[in-house]
Amino acid sequence: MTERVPPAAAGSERRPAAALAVDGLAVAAAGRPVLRDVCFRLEPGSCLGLVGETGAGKTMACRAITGRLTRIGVTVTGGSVRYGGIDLLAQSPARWRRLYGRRIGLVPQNSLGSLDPVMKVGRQVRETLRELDPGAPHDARAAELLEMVHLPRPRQVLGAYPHELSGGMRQRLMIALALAGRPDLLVADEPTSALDMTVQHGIVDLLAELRAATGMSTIFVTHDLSVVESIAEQIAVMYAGTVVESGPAPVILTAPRHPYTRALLAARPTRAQRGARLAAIPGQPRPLAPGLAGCQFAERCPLASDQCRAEVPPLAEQGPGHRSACWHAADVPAADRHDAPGAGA
Amino acid sequence: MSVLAGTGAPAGRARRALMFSGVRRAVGRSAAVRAGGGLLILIIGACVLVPVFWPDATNAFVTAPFAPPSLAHPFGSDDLGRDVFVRTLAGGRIDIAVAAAVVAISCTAGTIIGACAGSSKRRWASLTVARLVDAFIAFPYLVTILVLVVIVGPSAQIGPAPRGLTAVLIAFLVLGWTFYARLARAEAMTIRQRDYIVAAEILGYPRRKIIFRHILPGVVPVTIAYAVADAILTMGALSSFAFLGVGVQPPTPEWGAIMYEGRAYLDSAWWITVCPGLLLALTGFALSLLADGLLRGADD
Amino acid sequence: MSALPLPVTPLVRASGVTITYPGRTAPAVRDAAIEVAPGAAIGIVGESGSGKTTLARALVGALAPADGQILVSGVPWSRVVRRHPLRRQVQMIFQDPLGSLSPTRTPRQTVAEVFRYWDGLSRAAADRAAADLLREVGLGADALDSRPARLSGGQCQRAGIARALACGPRLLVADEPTSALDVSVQAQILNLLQDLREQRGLALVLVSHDLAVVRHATDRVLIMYDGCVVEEGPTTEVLDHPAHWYSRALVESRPGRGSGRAGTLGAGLDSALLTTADDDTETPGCRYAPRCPARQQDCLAAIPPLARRGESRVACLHPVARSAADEGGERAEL
Repeated sequence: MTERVPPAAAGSERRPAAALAVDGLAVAAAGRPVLRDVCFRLEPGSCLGLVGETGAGKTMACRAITGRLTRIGVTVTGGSVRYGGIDLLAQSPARWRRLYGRRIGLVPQNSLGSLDPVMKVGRQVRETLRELDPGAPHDARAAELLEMVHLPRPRQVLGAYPHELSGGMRQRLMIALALAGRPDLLVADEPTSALDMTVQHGIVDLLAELRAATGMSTIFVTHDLSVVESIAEQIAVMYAGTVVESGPAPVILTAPRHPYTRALLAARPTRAQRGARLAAIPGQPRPLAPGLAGCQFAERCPLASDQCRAEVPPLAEQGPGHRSACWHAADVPAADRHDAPGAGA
Repeated sequence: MSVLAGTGAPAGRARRALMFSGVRRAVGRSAAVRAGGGLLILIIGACVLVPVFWPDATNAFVTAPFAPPSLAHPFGSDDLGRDVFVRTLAGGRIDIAVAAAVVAISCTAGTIIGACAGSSKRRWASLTVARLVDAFIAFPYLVTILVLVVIVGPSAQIGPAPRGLTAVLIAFLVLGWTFYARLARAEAMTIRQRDYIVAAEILGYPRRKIIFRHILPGVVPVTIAYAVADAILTMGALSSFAFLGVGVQPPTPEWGAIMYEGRAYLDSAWWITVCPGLLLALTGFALSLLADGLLRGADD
Repeated sequence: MSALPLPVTPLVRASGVTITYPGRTAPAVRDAAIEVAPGAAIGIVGESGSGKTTLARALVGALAPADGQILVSGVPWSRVVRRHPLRRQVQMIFQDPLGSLSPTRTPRQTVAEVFRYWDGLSRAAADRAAADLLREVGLGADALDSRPARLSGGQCQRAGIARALACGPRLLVADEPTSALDVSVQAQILNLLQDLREQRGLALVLVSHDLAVVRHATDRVLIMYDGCVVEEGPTTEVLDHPAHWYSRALVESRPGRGSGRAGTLGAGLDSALLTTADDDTETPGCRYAPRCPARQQDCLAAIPPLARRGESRVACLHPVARSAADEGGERAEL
């Protein structure tokens, strides 16, 4: 991979990445809690896989990190988000304008919705560049960015309208736009969910490659654990507005200490159990239910006890850097390697 | 709104009303819809009931000419000593009835024509309707209506309609459906692509069933919302005909006709013109509240 | 149901199917053939733009092919009109769970409508039958009379499955039935499809880009590239020992193989999809030739036909050598 260092890496005045610490973050939308006690850390230059299903609050967590909470009428009710020495929750909109895009970049979830449908791609790229740096030569930089994300035929891409690009190409374009200001933290909110498997793999590899070349930290949000397997050093699993487990990726993927993580790993079809019934999780994922005493996952959990239904389990240390919010963490069976996601391909 | 709100209801009961469900949801939710609807009902109620019980007849000379507004004659009297209040309310019957009839017929016809055209798998059928509508819309609306009114003439009469009204009705109906057809066709064309229509085709449902039971329920909220806005336009157009010498002929009271008669005395007896004008504006306001709320309801 | 004649008539049999969308010159599906026997489970695999959804829609009779024919129990779709009983034989499940349900109808109404139309049930009887069927596919009682917008993706998908089952089909064509669902719900739906196949003896055509899902749920598989079926055979055989170079690229694609560069092996059709005019022109020869590592001069002459190779059939003049494929299979084992 080293022979493919993108040209933009050289000569960019990128700051070194700092550590991101989210502690006890609680957020309410329209008076209703949607995030509760969200905790995770991201070491400088590493990649965190933020995994969760519908209602888990992944996108809300991304918004907190990228300063987009106030825009949508959401209030922070507790906790802190610190990036290096900066308290991200205390930044004014004016300060955010200097942070967003320059130190923290966002690849949004819906690439088609994030681009103006009646404006050619090239103009949108140049407008972004002008906003970031009015003096720089935009055409050269635009071509350089497209080359960085391996978009072929840059001239043709810049002259196209968004709907003329394939989903994968649009996603690469969104990554290029997020990188335009040379951020040192990149937040990718479900960048692969709408894409084909093979294209997903391409995007994951692209993000890994860009990270290696630029040294930026990355948060990769997804609903599918198997997607972040190859890229994330750390994984945080969210369920119904809280982080239920976090730790080093190999540990989470092989020896999870939360029944939800274990169930997510087991739910994917694998070569070993071909044709057999899959270990589905009963019920469906849902947003945070603030009125519920106890563990949010208890209603779907095979290990749930009376204690689980009465008391909220704390995010407790299970091993080095490995934390799980489960009263029965010790009883969670290890995921044997055959259950590992991706083995079915 | 509870998720369980609909659980207990027997599935069959609300089936007919489902087509208007978007409309019903908007009515339940939006304050604008309730305020607009309430105001409209108040105005219509007054127009229908007050002239029945009011001591003065609409065309009787009941007091001195140009009497200013008073308790007995809230809108004063006109140049012939007729009570402007009762004439305005009685006139409102015609304006509102004509607008309602024109809009109801145009909306129904246009929605069905447009939905059928938009749902059709035959390209030529869809395109024919589209071109026809384009041809109609290409002419300025008011000018075309005026030409039609003049062509039909003020003496044409069907049934008990007041003199001049028949021409107006015909003119409105010839043009009115086109806007609805265009809206309905566009909406039907997007709905036709949806998976649930493909599913209905795969289930072998006949074309008519698919159009009327599956596509139309998605089209109706859009055209209904436009219909309310269209009612304002229709009433405005109807009132303006009096100023051009066509439309409802005197002495039948009609908002435009009353205002037209009062125009000569605007400096001395402003109430003859201003009072019906205010009521017209108020009705328009109520309708626009309603249209606004319905459009928002149709969106979700 | 009448006794089946021997040999078994396929539920659906397509041959030489070519479909071109209006306004395009390049066909979306080229000369495709597929045969679905009663009870079979067949996967159609490909990337966006490979024509797999178009082929699926043609199989259920929602699209008429420009060329070739599709027979449903020996009868062409064009003759299955109005209440022809064969119409009930093939039904479809869609990718977007919410979009496949009429927004103004509750699951009970949607399913009851099928019973009333096909079985002539009274309103009350149809409502009861719908409730029973929806319960059978695992839709909770509280969801029966809710609008689709208030249901979760999994609930909508169950309602869609019940609608398809209501007319008593023998073949379900499922177009990416789980790709829009949460991982924990995907497994529920796959299990449900499995149960229905066993209980009702249903045949299944599963269209998907997810090889793990296809491997799990199907016995045979078709691999499509740019409208062509490039390989067809038993699922494990094709996925473990792909013979077509595209199949191999597909099977071996996974993160960490350096596919970050668009247009390399595994990035597939993605970068070729710029929908400008010059991409709509036809070049002769194998569709995969421009990106094939084993391309030779003869590949550019004509689209190679499917040729038998072991238990499967491959449309490639220079297929992957068996030993190399084995190596690929070993690596896929992890």
